[in-house]
Amino acid sequence: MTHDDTVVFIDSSVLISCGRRGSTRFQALAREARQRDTVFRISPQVYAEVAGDSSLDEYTTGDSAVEKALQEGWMKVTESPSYSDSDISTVMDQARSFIASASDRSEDIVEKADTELVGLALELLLTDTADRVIRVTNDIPLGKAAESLLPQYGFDNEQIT
Amino acid sequence: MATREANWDTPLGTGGEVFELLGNARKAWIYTYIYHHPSTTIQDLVEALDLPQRTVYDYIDDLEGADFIHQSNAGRPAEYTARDIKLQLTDGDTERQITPELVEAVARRTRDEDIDTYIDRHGLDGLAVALEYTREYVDGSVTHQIMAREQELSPLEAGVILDALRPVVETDSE
Repeated sequence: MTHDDTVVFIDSSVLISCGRRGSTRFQALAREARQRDTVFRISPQVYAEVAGDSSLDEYTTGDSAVEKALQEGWMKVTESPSYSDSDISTVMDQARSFIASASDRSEDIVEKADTELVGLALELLLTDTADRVIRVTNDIPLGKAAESLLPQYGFDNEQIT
Repeated sequence: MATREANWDTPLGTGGEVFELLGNARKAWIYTYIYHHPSTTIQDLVEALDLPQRTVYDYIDDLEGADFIHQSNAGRPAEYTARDIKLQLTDGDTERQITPELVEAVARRTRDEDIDTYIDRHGLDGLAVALEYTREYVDGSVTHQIMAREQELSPLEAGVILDALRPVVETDSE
């Protein structure tokens, strides 16, 4: 695996929001990726969420923009995090509790897959694949979970904005 | 219906007018615009909303008749200011609130296809529920996946409606 200085993850909430506003938002994302000379990452869970549910074709947000981004090569789908690694599995469980508590809900309503972004961020930092991980999300509890949980592994907020 | 007497003090009478407002997106826009811009004239509305003057006159008459707006100056041209709408409906265990935000959400269906689709699929009740989730979403106390699971929607649909309704909640908290 090659080493990247900074890895940027885009969450489904952001892709949905961009998708509703036609191609201009996606062009802006593409420009951003070019300027950073990077490839934006999306997790398999995020990809599954935004791709191909034909019963929802009535909505303006389509999967075509994401497919196009993948083809153009400025976005790619990552592997799932290594659930078998205990650090990663633990941080994802903690993120699940964190989101449940921030939402004042039972943990049953939050699924481990919702926290993939946190697991992936930790994995990249632990394996030294990246120095810095940026997660772009509109889901505030998910963002806060990563901010508060990752520092316990010795990574500071500079690395996980 | 300008001939009708103001009926603000008869809640059930007002209820009928409110339902009519929720069923008419263009009238809902006029109310919403006045709600956000006190002392609005008919000409302001014609220009801002790009509606025919005749339509604006008719709807202003209706809204004034139902006492959702009132003339807030003494001279000409007349300036209008909105009154707050707060109506609580209870049906068994289900409670719904009709507020200016809900009226605005309805109004936005004319300009946002996703809100229009959502109302077609889930009705006004679904919209009112989604609006409550949007408040929590903007406050940072819920994720789109949680809304999806609790309301048995796909995460994509939850994400779409939360994004679409965001401006309604955000303008309100300014």
